[in-house]
Amino acid sequence: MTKILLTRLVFVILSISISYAGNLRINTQNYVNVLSWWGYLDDPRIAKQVENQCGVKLSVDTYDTNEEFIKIYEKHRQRYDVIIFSNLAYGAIKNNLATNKSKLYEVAYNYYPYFKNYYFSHSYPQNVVFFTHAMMGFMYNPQILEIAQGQNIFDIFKNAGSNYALIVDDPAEVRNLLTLSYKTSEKSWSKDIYDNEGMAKLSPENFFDVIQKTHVFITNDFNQIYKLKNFALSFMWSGDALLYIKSSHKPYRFILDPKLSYVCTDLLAQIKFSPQANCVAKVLDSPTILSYVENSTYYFSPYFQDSVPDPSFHNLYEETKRLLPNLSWIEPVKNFAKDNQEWEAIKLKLDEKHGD
Amino acid sequence: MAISFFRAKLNDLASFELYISRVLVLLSITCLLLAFAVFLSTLYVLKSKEDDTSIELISNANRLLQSNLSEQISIIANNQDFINYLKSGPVSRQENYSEIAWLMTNLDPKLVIGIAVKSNDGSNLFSYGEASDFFVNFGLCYMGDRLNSTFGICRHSMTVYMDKSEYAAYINRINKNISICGDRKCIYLIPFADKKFGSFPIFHTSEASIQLGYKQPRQYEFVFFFVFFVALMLILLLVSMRFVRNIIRLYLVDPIASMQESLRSGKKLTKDTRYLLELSYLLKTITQYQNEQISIELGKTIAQVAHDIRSPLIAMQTFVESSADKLDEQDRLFLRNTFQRIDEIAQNLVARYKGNVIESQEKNQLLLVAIAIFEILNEKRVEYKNRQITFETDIDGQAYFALIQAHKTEFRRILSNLINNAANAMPDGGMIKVSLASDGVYWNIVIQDQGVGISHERIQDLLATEPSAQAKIGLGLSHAKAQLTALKGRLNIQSREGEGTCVQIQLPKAVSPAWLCQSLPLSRQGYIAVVDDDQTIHDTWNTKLVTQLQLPADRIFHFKIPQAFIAWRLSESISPLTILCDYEFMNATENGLDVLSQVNAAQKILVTSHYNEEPIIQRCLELGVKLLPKHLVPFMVMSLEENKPAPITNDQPYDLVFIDNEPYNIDMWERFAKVKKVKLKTYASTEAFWQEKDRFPLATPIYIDQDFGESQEMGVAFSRRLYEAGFTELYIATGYMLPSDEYTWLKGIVSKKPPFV
Repeated sequence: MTKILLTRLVFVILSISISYAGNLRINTQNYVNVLSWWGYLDDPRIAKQVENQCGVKLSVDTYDTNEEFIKIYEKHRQRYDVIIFSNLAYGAIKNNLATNKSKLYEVAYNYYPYFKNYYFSHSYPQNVVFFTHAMMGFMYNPQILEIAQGQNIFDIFKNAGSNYALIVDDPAEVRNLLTLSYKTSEKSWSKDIYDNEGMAKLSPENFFDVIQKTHVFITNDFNQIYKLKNFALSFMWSGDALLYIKSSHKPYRFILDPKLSYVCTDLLAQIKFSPQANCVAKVLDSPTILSYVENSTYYFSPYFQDSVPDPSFHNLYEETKRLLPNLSWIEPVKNFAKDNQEWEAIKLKLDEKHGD
Repeated sequence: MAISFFRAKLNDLASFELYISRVLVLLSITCLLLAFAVFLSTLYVLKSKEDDTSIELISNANRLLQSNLSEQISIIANNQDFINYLKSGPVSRQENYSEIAWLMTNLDPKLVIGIAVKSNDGSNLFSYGEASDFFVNFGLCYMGDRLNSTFGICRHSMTVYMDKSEYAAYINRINKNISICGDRKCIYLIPFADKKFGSFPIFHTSEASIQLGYKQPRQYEFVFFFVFFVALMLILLLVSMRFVRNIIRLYLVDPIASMQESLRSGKKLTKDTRYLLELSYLLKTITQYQNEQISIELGKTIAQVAHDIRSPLIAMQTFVESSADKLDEQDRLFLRNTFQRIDEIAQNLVARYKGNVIESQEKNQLLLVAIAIFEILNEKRVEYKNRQITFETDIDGQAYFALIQAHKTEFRRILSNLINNAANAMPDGGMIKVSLASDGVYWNIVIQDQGVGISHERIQDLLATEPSAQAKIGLGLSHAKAQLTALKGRLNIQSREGEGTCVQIQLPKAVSPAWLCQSLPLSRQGYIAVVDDDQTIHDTWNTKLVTQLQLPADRIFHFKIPQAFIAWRLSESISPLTILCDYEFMNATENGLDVLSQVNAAQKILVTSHYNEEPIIQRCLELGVKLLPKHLVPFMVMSLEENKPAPITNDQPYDLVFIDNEPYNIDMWERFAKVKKVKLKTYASTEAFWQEKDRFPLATPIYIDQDFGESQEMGVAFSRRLYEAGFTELYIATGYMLPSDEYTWLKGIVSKKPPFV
């Protein structure tokens, strides 16, 4: 046993030596380390702009879910200079977030008035600013079902039948979906459904009650299920939906409706206060960089400009502008661990159901 | 050669034996040749499939290797640290490199000499070990944080560099018969020809191939098995040949040769215990033939006698007929019956000798048992008058009109033979008593003698289905047994040695026909005309009517000449009149039926000994005349009644009668009858009709319900009563399914729908 371990160790050391001698070895002093949602900072112009304006390179670690973000943040907090994360996760990390020495908040003076008012009225720390906004809604396959304005979410899943549906892998988003479902349905009077804060309980009973017979997959990825003939709908962010429809040429539609939709916000926080980190945070939250992000993600920047040359984005922009005062905002989650626990239980039950 | 092999003449047992032997030898040689041909073809097929098998086995081993390796890589690819590493930037990757490199050491370092992971944009994320020209590049596809090649998105790819010789060695470890190609035939394996590497989708591979050889196991086992099989088969064939020859000799050749030798030398045939069933039967038949040869010769002579005797018999019969007017009727009848019997016997003997079955030419007919007994006994009295044998009859009062369905000649022969047997049992004379009585559904005829008797054992043997050879059953008893079986009758013998024998015949009762006159109800105020050319008949009627019934003599009119009677009746309109008329009149052209057809009377009775002649019966039915066998006149039941209501006259006849206890049905029939103008008479019960039955002609169609309710007589039973009373047009009108074959007196079984609708 020891011999095997030793052999492996020698092999690793040799491999590391060989690899370090190659192109993998870097000087970490020249880098600003950023933790972000996957895909946000992929545009090469962003890294170049940062390098030009701040004299440092970007090293971006990515994640796919809020849960993943919280785990990475809690384990490697010291590793990162700037983090980009969901407003939902803000509640879980805000107590561990350094808040002084930053004038990052000044960028918010240039935000779109509605977002500026919201930012300043909600007492965010000086080192935390808005990064992007996405509208939550349904992308659906009109060959299987139609979703009308004001339609009840129960009816939507009922119409989907036993076809495929995808739901974002996020307990808070799902809780919000359940809450919207019940509050706009005839079951809204039932007290057993809600917790003390008036949100729908994140329980398997509520979840399966809402999705009914629909074959639900939980994922934040774009995957092959979207291409299947019996894909019915996906509860997802607006940017992802528009990008998928555009790239796949599928006849899918995305619906925005105050009854079904709400605003999801991503925040940017400067958590190290070196001049490089300060510079990078400001550059990343600048209108130019955010227009790059808008173009690659189809999410809205807090500057809220119609900056993407695409009619579908334009239409959504106009629709969002019209409905924005009526849309609710998803609130930060206070007890993310509890939500995750409940969410894992639901996912486990869903796996069992699929196993059947 | 083969043809001449079978051309040996097959004309005796020796040549038969030789032929069988040759067939067996030829079969054995054919089997061996076939087995050898199968061996060679199997060997050829195995050899030709060797290469395909080698390729298949090498491909299987290759797939197994890749499956094992991809499984190990899947474990690494599903590791959360590895997944986080893929999502990391350069700084984090540098920090976590050693962890991932450590994970990679789980792979066999001899086989996997290097690994590289790249993102889809071409960035090199991980590099480990060294590259080689023997590699496979495949996608890392995830859905969420799990590998999922079906639904997942492939943002990264992994390249696994391997040592080619170690790859071959690995395959060798999976299947020891596969190794790097040496001096034996090589197979070029392209290891990554499939689109999948385990569960991973392959993007790109090296084009290298590996030369491998497969060591085929030798076919020694097969050859050994074949040689053993052939040897075993040869031994079995030889043993079988010997066995078959012995069986044929022992059970076929030797018995036949022995039988032939015995027949040739005139010795008696003896049965061996080894004889087959068929040979035993043959032996038995030959023995029987030998034993009965004398009887056969005798039979021929009897047949010749029977044939020759018919000419003088006809001459005698002609002579007697021409002298008939000199005989009284009883003697004339006796002679006629006797001639008829002799003629029938002679005809039968000739037909039997010629192989014809005379019985089948005549159908069973209604026979009056008592008359048959009287006639046979008359013959026997004459036949045995010199042997001190007396005959006595004991016929039960109701049995005089006992009827059976039987073949007349055969039945009389049964009686005759059995009486002969009884007479033969009394060499010193004695009495033979023939009695007739009813036993439920059977008529019992008992022939009792005072002879030497038969032992119990012999009776058992005589009555057995297959009597033993020692039984020496007589032809009479044998004939009786066969005939009674055909008539669904029974034969029973009871005997006491030294006291006598009692032979009992049981025959099923037949239904009494409408034309038969079994009883004669007479009106106290009525008149009777007796028309017969025999004075004894007039005397008999006088005795019965005047002495027994005490009818005034002036109400009975006697006629011997038919024309005189017709003239009297046409001038005399007395009523009610019952006519008792003979059939055959000497010196008259008209018979009794001709006479009856010319006059009116309340009852017309034809009194004749021709009771079983079909044309006479048919004419009686047509004329509404009843027939009374002359022999039974003394035994007929007669009764006196007050004047009955007059039968319905011809100007007011009813077309049909309907009897049903359901008012609805009665109503329906009456309504339809009214519409259809049918003269219908309805009754709600069977008894109501019975009271008035004499008002209706016997040919009136009568429709009777089947079910008259609980404890009531069923329609079928009532119809039987009516049939016995003379009614002929009887129908059961019912919704039930009834077996019409069983109710022969019925004209039909119909529904409740009126027949005139």
